[in-house]
Amino acid sequence: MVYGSGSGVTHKRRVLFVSSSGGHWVQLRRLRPAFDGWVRYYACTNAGYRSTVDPEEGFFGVPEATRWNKLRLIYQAVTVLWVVLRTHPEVVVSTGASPGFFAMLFGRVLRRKTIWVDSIANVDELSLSGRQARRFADLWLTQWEHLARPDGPKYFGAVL
Amino acid sequence: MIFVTVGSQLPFDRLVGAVDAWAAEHANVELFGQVGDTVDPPAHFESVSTMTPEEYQRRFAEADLIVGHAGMGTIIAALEFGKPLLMLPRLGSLKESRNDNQVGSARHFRSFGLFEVVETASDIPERIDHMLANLQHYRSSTDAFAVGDSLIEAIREFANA
Repeated sequence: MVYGSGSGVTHKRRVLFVSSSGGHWVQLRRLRPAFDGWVRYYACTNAGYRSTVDPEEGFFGVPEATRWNKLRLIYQAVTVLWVVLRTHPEVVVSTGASPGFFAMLFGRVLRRKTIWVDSIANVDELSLSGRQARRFADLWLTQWEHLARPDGPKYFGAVL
Repeated sequence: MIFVTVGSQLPFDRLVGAVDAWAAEHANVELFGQVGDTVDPPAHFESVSTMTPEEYQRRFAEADLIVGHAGMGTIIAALEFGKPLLMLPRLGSLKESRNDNQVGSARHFRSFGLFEVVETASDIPERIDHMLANLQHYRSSTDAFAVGDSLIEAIREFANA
């Protein structure tokens, strides 16, 4: 069961994690310890992951999309916006890709704290979505020291 | 059991074909594959296109050896389960991936004790033989696989600021 949003059911702080499936999701889940004691929500393109989150955590499926299919992208963006509004998080976190970008965008518009942790898979350069997320991420991180720059992305270590 | 996994992004016939050829000559070894959109499914071992996360975890847990692409999901799962992993990176130039970032991942992680990397599919059969014959050599500690405390701490600090 998830906690109600803004209903006064709980005063716990809320965080929303957003990513696509596969490696992004695995890395996203490994950031959980930073939010011990928070109400944690997840949104992912693989609805099957619902069964892998803890019972007290919330989960939302969002549509898959590629950057070549604009209609799907819009559908995905609207769904992510709905999830952000519904969960009313104080902080939004993503490891990639397009759903995470939209989460950064709407998080910024709604004045939430936004955190982008670019996937460790991007060894040689930041992901496309990671580069695009720069404008909207309050904390903009790479997991590779050699990709860090003085004006961002910053490097504080990796999920492994 | 050898678990073959190529993720669900794009076909990866180069890898599946090479493992299938090896399997044809090793009928005594059990294999199971998750082959995604691979065009020619393997003829010599059972496979599915995709699987649920639970099924994926179960296959990983049961496997003695993983043969797969160099996707981060596969790499992280191998670390979590402490399973030896033989990787063939997907290449952007062959349209196996949108870019060559698997080459970078493979290059970085090959130094971890659990992993072997091959550059070409033709090296797969010989490397499977080698890894199967030396499985205990790859059963390295998974202690290295702790979440980076500094990263978690930086995020926690930022969230609480």
